[in-house]
Amino acid sequence: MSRAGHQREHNIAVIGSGGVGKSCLTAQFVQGVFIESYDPTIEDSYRKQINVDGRHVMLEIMDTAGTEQFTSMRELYMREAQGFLLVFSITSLSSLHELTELREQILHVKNDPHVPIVLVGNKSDLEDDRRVSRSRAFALSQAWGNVPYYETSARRRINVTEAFVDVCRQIIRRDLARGAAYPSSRRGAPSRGRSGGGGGDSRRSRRTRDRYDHDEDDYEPHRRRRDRHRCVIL
Amino acid sequence: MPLESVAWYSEMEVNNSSSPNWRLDKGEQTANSNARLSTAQAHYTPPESPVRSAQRQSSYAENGFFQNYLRAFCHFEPPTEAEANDEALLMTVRIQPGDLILIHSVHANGWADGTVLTTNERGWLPTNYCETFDHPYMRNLLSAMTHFWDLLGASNDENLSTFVRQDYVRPLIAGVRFLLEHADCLHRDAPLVQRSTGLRRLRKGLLADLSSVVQIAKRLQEVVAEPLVGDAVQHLLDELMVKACKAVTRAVGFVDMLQQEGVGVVPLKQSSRKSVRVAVDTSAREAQHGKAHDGSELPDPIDSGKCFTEPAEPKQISEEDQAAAGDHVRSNSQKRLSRGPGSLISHRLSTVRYDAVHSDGLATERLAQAHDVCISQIAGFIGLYLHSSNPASELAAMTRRLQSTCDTMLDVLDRIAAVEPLGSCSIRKARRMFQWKLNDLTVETDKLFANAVRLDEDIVMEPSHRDHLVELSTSLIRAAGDCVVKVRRIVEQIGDFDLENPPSTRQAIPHDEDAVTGANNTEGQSHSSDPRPATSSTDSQSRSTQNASPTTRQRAKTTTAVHDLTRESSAKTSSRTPDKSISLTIPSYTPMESKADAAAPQLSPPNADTTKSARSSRTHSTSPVRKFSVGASISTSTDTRLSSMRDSGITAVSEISTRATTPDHAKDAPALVNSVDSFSSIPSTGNVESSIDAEAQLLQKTYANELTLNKDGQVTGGSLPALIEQLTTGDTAPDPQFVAAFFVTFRSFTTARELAQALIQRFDYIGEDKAVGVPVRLRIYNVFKGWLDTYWKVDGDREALGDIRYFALHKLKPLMPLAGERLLESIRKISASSQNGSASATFAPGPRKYNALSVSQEEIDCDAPEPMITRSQLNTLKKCVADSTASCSVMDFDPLEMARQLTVLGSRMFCEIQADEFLSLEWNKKDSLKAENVRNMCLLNTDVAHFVGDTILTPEDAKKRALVIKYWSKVATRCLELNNYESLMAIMCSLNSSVVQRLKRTWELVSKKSRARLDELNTVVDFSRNQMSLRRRLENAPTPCLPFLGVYLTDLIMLDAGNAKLRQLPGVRTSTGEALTVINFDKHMRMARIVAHLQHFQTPYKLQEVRDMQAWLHMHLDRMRSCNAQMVGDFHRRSLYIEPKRDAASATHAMLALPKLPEFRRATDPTASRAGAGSRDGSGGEEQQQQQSQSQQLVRPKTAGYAPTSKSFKSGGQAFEFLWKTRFDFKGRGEGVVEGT
Repeated sequence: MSRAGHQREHNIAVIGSGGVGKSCLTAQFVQGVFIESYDPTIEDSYRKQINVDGRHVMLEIMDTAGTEQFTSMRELYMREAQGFLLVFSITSLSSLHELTELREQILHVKNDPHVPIVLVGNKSDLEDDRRVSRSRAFALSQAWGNVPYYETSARRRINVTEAFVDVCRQIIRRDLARGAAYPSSRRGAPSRGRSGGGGGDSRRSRRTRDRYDHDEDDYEPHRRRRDRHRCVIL
Repeated sequence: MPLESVAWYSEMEVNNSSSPNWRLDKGEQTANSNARLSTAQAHYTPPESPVRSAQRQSSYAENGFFQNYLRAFCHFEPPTEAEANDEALLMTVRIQPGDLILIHSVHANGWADGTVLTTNERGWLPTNYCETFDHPYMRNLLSAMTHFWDLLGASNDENLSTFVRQDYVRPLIAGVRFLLEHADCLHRDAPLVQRSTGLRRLRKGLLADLSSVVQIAKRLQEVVAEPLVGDAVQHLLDELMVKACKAVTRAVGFVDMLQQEGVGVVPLKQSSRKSVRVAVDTSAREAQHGKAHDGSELPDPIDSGKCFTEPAEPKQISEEDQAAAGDHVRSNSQKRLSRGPGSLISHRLSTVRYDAVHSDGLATERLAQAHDVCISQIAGFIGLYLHSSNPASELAAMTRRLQSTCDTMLDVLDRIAAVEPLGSCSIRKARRMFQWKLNDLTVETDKLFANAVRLDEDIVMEPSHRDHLVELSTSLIRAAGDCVVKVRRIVEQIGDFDLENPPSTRQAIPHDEDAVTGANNTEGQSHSSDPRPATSSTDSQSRSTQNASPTTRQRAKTTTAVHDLTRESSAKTSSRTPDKSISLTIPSYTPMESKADAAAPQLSPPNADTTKSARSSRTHSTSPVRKFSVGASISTSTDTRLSSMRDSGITAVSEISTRATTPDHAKDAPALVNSVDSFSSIPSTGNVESSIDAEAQLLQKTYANELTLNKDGQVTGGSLPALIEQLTTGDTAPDPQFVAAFFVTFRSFTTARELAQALIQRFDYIGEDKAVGVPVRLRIYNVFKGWLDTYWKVDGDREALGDIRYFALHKLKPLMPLAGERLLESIRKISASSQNGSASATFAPGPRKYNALSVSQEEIDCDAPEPMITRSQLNTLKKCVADSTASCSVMDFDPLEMARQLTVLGSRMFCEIQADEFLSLEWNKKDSLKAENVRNMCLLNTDVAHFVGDTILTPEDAKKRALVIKYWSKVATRCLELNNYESLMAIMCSLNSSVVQRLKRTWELVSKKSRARLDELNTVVDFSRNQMSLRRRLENAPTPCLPFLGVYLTDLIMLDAGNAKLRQLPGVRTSTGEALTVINFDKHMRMARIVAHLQHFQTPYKLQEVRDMQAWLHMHLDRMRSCNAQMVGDFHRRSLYIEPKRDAASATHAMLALPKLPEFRRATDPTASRAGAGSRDGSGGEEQQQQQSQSQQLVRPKTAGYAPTSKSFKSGGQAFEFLWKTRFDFKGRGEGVVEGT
């Protein structure tokens, strides 16, 4: 593992339907503890430097808060981002359901079944109003190819950074793995994707490749590690 | 072993002191700008050692908090010009017993940079001649004074916006009021005032001072408003400062007098913490005094005045000592200002701005750094364990790293705690917690490694074990956060300070140094040109290495030892560097008793030996040549920069990051006439007034102490009464921006009813006084009127109407019949219209709100350019709209006209949006009715984007598609020209969407010119860096403009999420002792600013509407809306259909040939059937039918609206698409079912 000295920059998109507390999550993450007033209009309102496993990375959070209805814009966010926080509120089952569609779109846009994703159940402080059981959300995260599932509370600042760090770690691992597996970086043309692949439509090929990837996982240490993500419920 | 701390100074960066403005003498200084004042401050040369004036040693009660105010109890005289031919000597200020001093920063050696309020001189002064000043009655006034100073200090020529209004003096007034109120002297005929002549006189003087402050503020306001200001402003500012200082001085005198009169301080329930501290200090001090002075009079903890009214110390150094002075002795020990080892200088926290160069050393910065690193390490740790099966070596390394960072954090904590021994109790507790957690974690991980056989083997962890570890580390994070919060709290009280100096630059800076005396300067030249003696600097370095040891212990030495050593060292040094060595000490102070209380943070009591020691060492400095001392600021010239930063305008720079993006409307405030302002005729209160009036005016009940302003004088927080007060100021017109923001946002922090009642309350308490009451009451009337006429919300504010009516009838009307009548009139209008149920145009919130109905179409049409559309096109359009089978293509229209019509469409919708739709933050909630227009606007954007995508994906021929792309790129350019960012964004979103971007063949056919055009447009809509390029453009966009709403919507949501509702007022306590939490108006102000910015775009375009085209557009957009949900998938399929993946490289026309279809279908089949297997059996048939109807619905209007080239292909394509679609919808559902279970 390299101890990358230079700073990388990663875009992480926070996606979810309105009212699940995405904005609070982002604000909590980006904001320091002691900021007197947060001004979202300046250039680095959404930037934060963090340290992930000894690597300094600069994260730029792309929050769709407030613009959930601009569905056409969503895709641009998705294209820019390398990792995704899919956020729902544990007090709303429909917010969980809506994520399925969003994830579909992400996979479309990124054309990659292993795009770094973290499933986030926000508002964990509102346990009394819980409508989505942990097991249900966890099952969904499993169905999505074992993506990690976090329950966060933006209000109490629980698990917020952890969720972001997890995505970031996934991005880094992926980059490293790609660096090993594919010497020529294939980033930069995500939408064109794996155009060299076999015939048929992209969905089919993605499906099958997905399957193959799973098979390959057993021989690829980094993949295996990734797939062993566990649900963290604190 | 270093001697007792006699500060020794290396001469580092003195040469800057040649600035002509270095001296802050009021005589010389008045014409100087404050900005210069402050920069000059950075170059302070050191103070003269105050040997001659060491007449009396007394306790210097520094209790560990950073004190903004000190009070001199001892005389200190800077050398006269005659003796000091060096500037350095003049940098000190004269202090007289009883002087109150506002401290800006304190150097560790005990010199402080302060402003003597009595004389308004600024300079260095010895803190051991002073004691802290704190009087419960005075706190509000003092805190107001500090802010006042900061405000005036921060102002420079560019930033005079504060002074267009007089609000900034109000806290001072409130402070005085607080004092008088608690002293029971609020009214002239209060028994206490009647009884005591002294009090009466002081009270009168105090009020006179205060009123002159107000007068000057008023003059300043007038001057600033004039176009050509210059020296006059500076002059007034200086005068203002002088007066304010005088008022505060007088207030101190008043408090003293109060004490003399024997009026006990009725204990306010102050913050328990602080009062306890005072008590502790006092008792400790008394104990020491008792020993030292054998019962000589002790300063009363509260009435510090006593210590100068009855000086207890004999004068010990006679005048001839001074006269004879060629040599100044500077050997003495010096108790540092209770800073910890290594801390060089402390500042008022509020004054310290983070500064890239210097931030490293400040305690808070270091802490933040350590904390950040620590947190990220722990996070890394968690991550590592969470994802498990790492080689043990990696885990071990991680754990080690974690430990070392935590240790660093602990170290920082320790050092801060050492600085603040008394207050650190809570820190220690938090620290202990932190350490425990760390230990736990270490133990746990050790256990883990114990099980590991080999280091390179993966560690297998039980899930429970891992969970436990994660739990531990999260609690560690929490503990760390807790520590930081605690420390921060302490540091806020004691002032921020340099924790440690980076070795490279500050090694030579002495901390508590031994006496190094006998510096001679034979040349008598300015020290700035004086080369630094090498010996001394090495000396200092060697010594500074020893500084780390706690000084308290070192101080526990016998005095004799001190002077012996001092003598020695001074002799030694002077012999070594006979000519050039520069010496300096802090005014002498030798702790004789300190053995007894090595750990005590207080200064030990003074004693006669000190002076003896001083004298004796003086006799030992043999050089007859005059010496001068280089004082604190040499070594601190780097450090003090931090504090001077506050005034130097760099503070302002540091704020620019936020200010730059929020246009400062305040500057043009004088030009703006507020609607609220229109009625009242404000009687001039500034002229001839009886003292009674003046008094009444000054002492009006006020909540000004519950208000906070930022450096620009804008309200950032306040309780409701305080905000109301700001809204209804009697003497000046309220800031129009504030008024607007208040009205637009008040519903989010209070209710209409509460507002009405608070206004009425204000009406009551302000009284009937002619000078004060009447103008304020008129303003209250104006506020009501403005509310009812301009900002009234029919449904939301109804509940307040009853209160207002009652007020108008029974309170306002009897006093001001005309005003009452008018208000009643407004009320009648409102209730009438609300009964009719018509939300008439008058009630649109926001004064600038454009109402589409109010501007006649003709008016627009006559100025607007002719539409670029032909008659035949219009006819086609008509046909299209009427008959869905007829078709016409977008390509038929001129791009400019298309852009115009899109603009008209969007602009009309945009202008419908009401201010409170934005503030409701509810446009995302589907069932909410509060922000319908915003939601429509969002949907419009999406619809347009879909429409664009639809037109591009429809033609089967790549060439045609390329033309459509070209067409839209032209439209987008036109939109940009029209400032229609909304449509621009929609078009660009669509062109950049993956479904369009992946059409390789199409893009190959797009002309270079079009692509260049698109690249250019892409820089405008660029998402990176928080959409900076778009923001910049929108900021300065001329109207009419149709901004892209998304940016603002995100801002609003994030503003709401990132800023708390309430904020704590710094330094102000309620009478019950809690820190006051008030409405965080800053947040609302920011939101209102965004809304105002949007509202200012709400002007209609001067463009002609082409009705047929609008209808046609609407038809298409509605079609898009109706299948909004499926659009994403639909486009994807269509995109794949027209340019299938596998054929990307070959067969340009492949897709036009029907025979290919079956093969293609087969290829997709297996996947689809596999994926869809789950749901197919059960509901397949039904779904198929659904799909069929849907797809027909989808396809038919599309082909109707846009004619593909080959008619024959049309049906085939449709059929194919249907099949295609069905496949995939199956698959999608299938997945949904699987995941749902």
